[in-house]
Amino acid sequence: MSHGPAAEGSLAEPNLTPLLDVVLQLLMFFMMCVNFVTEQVNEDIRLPVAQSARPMEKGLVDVLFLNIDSLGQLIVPGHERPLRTQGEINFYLRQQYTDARRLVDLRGGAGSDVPTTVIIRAHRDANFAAIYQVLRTCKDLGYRKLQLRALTKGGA
Amino acid sequence: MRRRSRVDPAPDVVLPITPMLDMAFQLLTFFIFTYRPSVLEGHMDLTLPAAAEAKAQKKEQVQPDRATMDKELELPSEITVAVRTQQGDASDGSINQIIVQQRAGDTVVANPEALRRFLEKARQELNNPHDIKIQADSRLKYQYVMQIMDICTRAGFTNVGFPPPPDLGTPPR
Repeated sequence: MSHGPAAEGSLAEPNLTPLLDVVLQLLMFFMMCVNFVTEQVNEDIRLPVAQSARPMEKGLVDVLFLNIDSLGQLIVPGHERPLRTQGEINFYLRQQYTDARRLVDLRGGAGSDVPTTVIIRAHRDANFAAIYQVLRTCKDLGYRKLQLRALTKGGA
Repeated sequence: MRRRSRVDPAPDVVLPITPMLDMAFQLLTFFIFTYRPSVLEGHMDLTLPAAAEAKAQKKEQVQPDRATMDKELELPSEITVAVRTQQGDASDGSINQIIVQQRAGDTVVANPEALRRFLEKARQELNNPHDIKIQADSRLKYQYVMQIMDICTRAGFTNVGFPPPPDLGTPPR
């Protein structure tokens, strides 16, 4: 005499389909928002706040980023240490301008201004003297387009 | 007797969902880690024309061979905002005094908000309502310079220039 099989308990299976839909929705969202191309920005620099700062122009191609830390030093990608003295900064900017000038001349634009836009991202605690020196050097070299970056009201 | 042909039922296709879900979660994790919300970063333009262009009224009057006498990063303006900070080792780089310099005389302004109201009013009486100069001390912190520049822009001035700091090159006392 054998007993019948043990009474089977009812299995509760969660419906995975809507959960998977949500997972795929999240995946689609983050895939749409991904941006692998990053600007040469330094995350350690805290920008000042300016309400009248306009949104960044995404069409700019020919740009030169100058990241200035709280000590007035110029942080250059690829350099071991920041550029500290005014002479080093002048030399670096002159090199960049010479390269840009040569490129403009090769493209047949001899005599025209260098179209490079200099974007200055300076730490809010940097002394104005350091910023002024950089601005002055850029002007003396021949750069005509400069931008000062700042956080908008919502980014503060 | 007629043999009846039997059609074997099609085999059930079972998709292995589990590894596919694993891949989906891997991708989701990757994109979550690489997600970076856009920083609300804006810009303020500075235009630095050559001195010959800045002072010429017409294009024909531009003289590129003329020796540039400009020592300032500015356009001709009738109004200057002088921003002073404390001198000495105790200086924290904050604004100590705001002075608006015009042909009619100098006016000391109490705070940045009062400066904005003053500039909006003064701008209506200027022949050149677009240009303004901000002369800041060397040790003034950059955030305060941007604050003043922001006020000038909101007051309606479109071209902001920077004369050299009056104490540039002076060692701190």
